[in-house]
Amino acid sequence: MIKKYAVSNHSQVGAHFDDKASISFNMDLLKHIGKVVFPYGLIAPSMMIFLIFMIYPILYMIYLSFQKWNMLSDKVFIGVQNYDKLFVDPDFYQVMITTVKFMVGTVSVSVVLALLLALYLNQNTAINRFLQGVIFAPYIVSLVSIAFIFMWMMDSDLGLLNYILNLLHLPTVRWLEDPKVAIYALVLVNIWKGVGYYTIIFISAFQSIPPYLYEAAKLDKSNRYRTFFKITLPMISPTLFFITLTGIIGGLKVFETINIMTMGSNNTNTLVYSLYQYGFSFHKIGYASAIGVVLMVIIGTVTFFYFNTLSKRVHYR
Amino acid sequence: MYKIELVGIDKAYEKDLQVIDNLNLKIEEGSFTILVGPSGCGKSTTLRMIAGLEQESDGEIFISGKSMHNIEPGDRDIAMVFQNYALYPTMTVRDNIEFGLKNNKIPKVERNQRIQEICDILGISEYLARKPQSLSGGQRQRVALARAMVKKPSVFLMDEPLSNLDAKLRNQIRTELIELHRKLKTTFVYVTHDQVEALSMGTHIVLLNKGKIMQQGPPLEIYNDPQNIFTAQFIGSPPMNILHAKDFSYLDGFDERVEYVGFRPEHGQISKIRSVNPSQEGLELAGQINTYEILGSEILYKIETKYGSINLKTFDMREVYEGRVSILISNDKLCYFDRDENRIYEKAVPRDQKICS
Repeated sequence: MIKKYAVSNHSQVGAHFDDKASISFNMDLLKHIGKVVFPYGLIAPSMMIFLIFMIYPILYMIYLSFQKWNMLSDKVFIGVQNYDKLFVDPDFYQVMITTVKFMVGTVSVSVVLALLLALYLNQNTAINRFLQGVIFAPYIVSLVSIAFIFMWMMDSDLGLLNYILNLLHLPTVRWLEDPKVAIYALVLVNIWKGVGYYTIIFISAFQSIPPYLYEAAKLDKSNRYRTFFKITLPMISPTLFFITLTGIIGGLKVFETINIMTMGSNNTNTLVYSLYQYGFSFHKIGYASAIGVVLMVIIGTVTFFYFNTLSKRVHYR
Repeated sequence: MYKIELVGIDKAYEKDLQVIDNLNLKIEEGSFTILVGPSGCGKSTTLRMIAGLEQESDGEIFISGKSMHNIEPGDRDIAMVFQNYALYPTMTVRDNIEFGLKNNKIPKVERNQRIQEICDILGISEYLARKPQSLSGGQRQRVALARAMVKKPSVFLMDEPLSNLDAKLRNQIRTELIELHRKLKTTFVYVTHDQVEALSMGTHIVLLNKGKIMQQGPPLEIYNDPQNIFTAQFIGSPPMNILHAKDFSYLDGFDERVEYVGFRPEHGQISKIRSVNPSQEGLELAGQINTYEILGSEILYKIETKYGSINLKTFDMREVYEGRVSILISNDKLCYFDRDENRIYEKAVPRDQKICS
């Protein structure tokens, strides 16, 4: 486009200067620039928000991870010392293992349980509609309240869970105090909160499968299990993929439950909680930022591989 | 022996919503039976009950002499082609065709052989690795057929399989289906609302209305010898012209029961002058041509007469009539119906020919 204008201008210069042509040429150029710039102008506001609240903090976190800073002192550039310390710290690996345990436990049990519940609640009867509402309820309750209620229920001496175990003459469990059990107790709370949400999404995915596919399967003499694994599951694969991915990311970023129920004690310290501790309890901002960067890289890598390996097997309509 | 027998079938979705009322139907082995009727007449429901996808409220269905009560669709030795093909979108064409075979535990060698055979017949071998959504409507239709054929069922059930195709493809696949039926010599039960499909494909037509059989028989019999006004008007395009017999003085004293008189659009002879052929006896009407449509090999006229509007079809392409015309329908082409719209078969010979204008 630009080239065309230039050529036409040149030829006009050759055949005496023409005022009118020059003006129209300038107007054309302005119009052209306007056309190019206008769309960027339109997306500018949202881009600004995105840059200020998403990109800038990430870059600033990366910058901070190379500094020594306690929020009062001057920032001192110390290179990769924060990372050096992080990678030789045995606690860090413990935190990583705990995080993965939490994530895998929550996602796998939630997804399988939600699938089973969704299969059960799929029939549109009055009682099922009621149960769908019931099962979804924990999702709309604040996680903080849930955490407090579960803390009370999981109390070793006065809690409801141990009371029930006692009634059944079963050995009691020190839910939140036993380092072997505590993280799974937290997993339980998160499953309880999230499973209803997953279930509702699965039910809606099931209901988007056209019924004639099941009729065709019946005529093809497909039994229940084959129908589920060969038709239902592939048909909801986009939903399954999305739910699992967001579950994995959410699991890696868990914070509130731990902050309220155990404060990271008894082997329940996860990446985000230890980041919070280093940042806001010990005021080691640089070190905390380094943890943040590691978390970001882990989530990025997991997401990348997840997309690359599984998205080919997902059926999008 | 009949291949499929429906004995006293009732179907009601709700208490007051009787879709099918005491249906008795016998489908002969090797026939191409068409269930045809307007939408909501229960033809699809009937087919789905034969398939076992719908439970009959009362009565019994027999396939190959065996009662189908509580027998799963997969165990009925049938295959069905759906209107929207119902291909499994997550599977390749090959997996779609193979799914039923695998479920029936047919060994791999035979599976491959059958798939190869069917795909050669239908010309879909090159799409085997593709997913259904990358195929055109006609190709999908063929895959759906292949999926049904590969099971080698004793009955094919088809629920309006051509209605999602464009007109040209529909004609093509219609011909292919007729050939297929000749080749396979299996029983086909085919549901359609299109009387052209019914007439052109069927060896036996069952015309349904409001859950009841109006008439059944071979296509020509249904067309030439309608037993009631519904059949006369549903089969044939344009429908049979039906006029109130009492309007015609020439039928006076003929048969008290005659309420309606009808004739097919192609049986009326049209002419400018009164009485086309005075020696021929028949009903003569005068009218004003409203519209005409030239369809290439025939012309359709819509003519306004004193007794109502009538359709006329001529194959005489030499002249297009306009304005006032007279129409003669010879006596042997007239059909008489009683008050309940049922045919009266007694030879109807009017006392003498009169011109009704």
